[in-house]
Amino acid sequence: MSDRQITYLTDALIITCIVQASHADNVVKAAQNVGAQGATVTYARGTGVRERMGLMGVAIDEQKEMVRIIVSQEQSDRVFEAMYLAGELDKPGMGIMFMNKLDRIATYIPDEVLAEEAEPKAKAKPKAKAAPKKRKTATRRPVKKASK
Amino acid sequence: MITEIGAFMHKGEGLRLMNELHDDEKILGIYVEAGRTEDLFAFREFGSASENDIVTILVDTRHATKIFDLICSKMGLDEPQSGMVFQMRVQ
Repeated sequence: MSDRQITYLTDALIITCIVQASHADNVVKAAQNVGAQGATVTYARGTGVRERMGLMGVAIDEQKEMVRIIVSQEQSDRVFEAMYLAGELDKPGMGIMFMNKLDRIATYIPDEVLAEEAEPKAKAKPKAKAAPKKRKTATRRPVKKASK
Repeated sequence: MITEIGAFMHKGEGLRLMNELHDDEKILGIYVEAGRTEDLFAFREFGSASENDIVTILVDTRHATKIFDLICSKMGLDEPQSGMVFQMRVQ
């Protein structure tokens, strides 16, 4: 029996933001300023609005950067708004962004963090009339060791 | 129903994972991208970001949990700085 375990996290969203090349750093910085932990940036090539804008389209960079950030449900709107404003997405041709709900996430979570999460639940006294707090945070399950 | 499983992992591991899984009949497609990341890994090659791979796997929802657990296990997510896996439904 293996002692390895996966901790599933729920109530999270992934924000994807496509902006012109070299604009990603501003967007990431804005997201981090309002609480996002980190971001992943990839390069891409875009088409669409550039062609529709005719001659003005030359001002839009064909090279794009795609920023992906995973955030919790609580901070999603705040991070989304900060990224939108930093990327100046209210201007034509600057880019597009969207948000998807994730079913679950798995990553390394230190035991101390998991213990902290479990502690208040154990200490809390049951209230007679108060409705139980629904907090889906982490579920753990054992996994078999993969052969590499 | 189709489910998308995404994974942020160290540079080079995306291709290795693709080679290991591409014969699996439960998997509908695997795509690997290269990018840079902040805060995901402790090791940084230069500046404030480090290179990473982003793997996207499309799988039938019935097999999603099994594939998800398999990827977690292959990535060794019980160790720090090993990346992140996420799953979402494709409507």
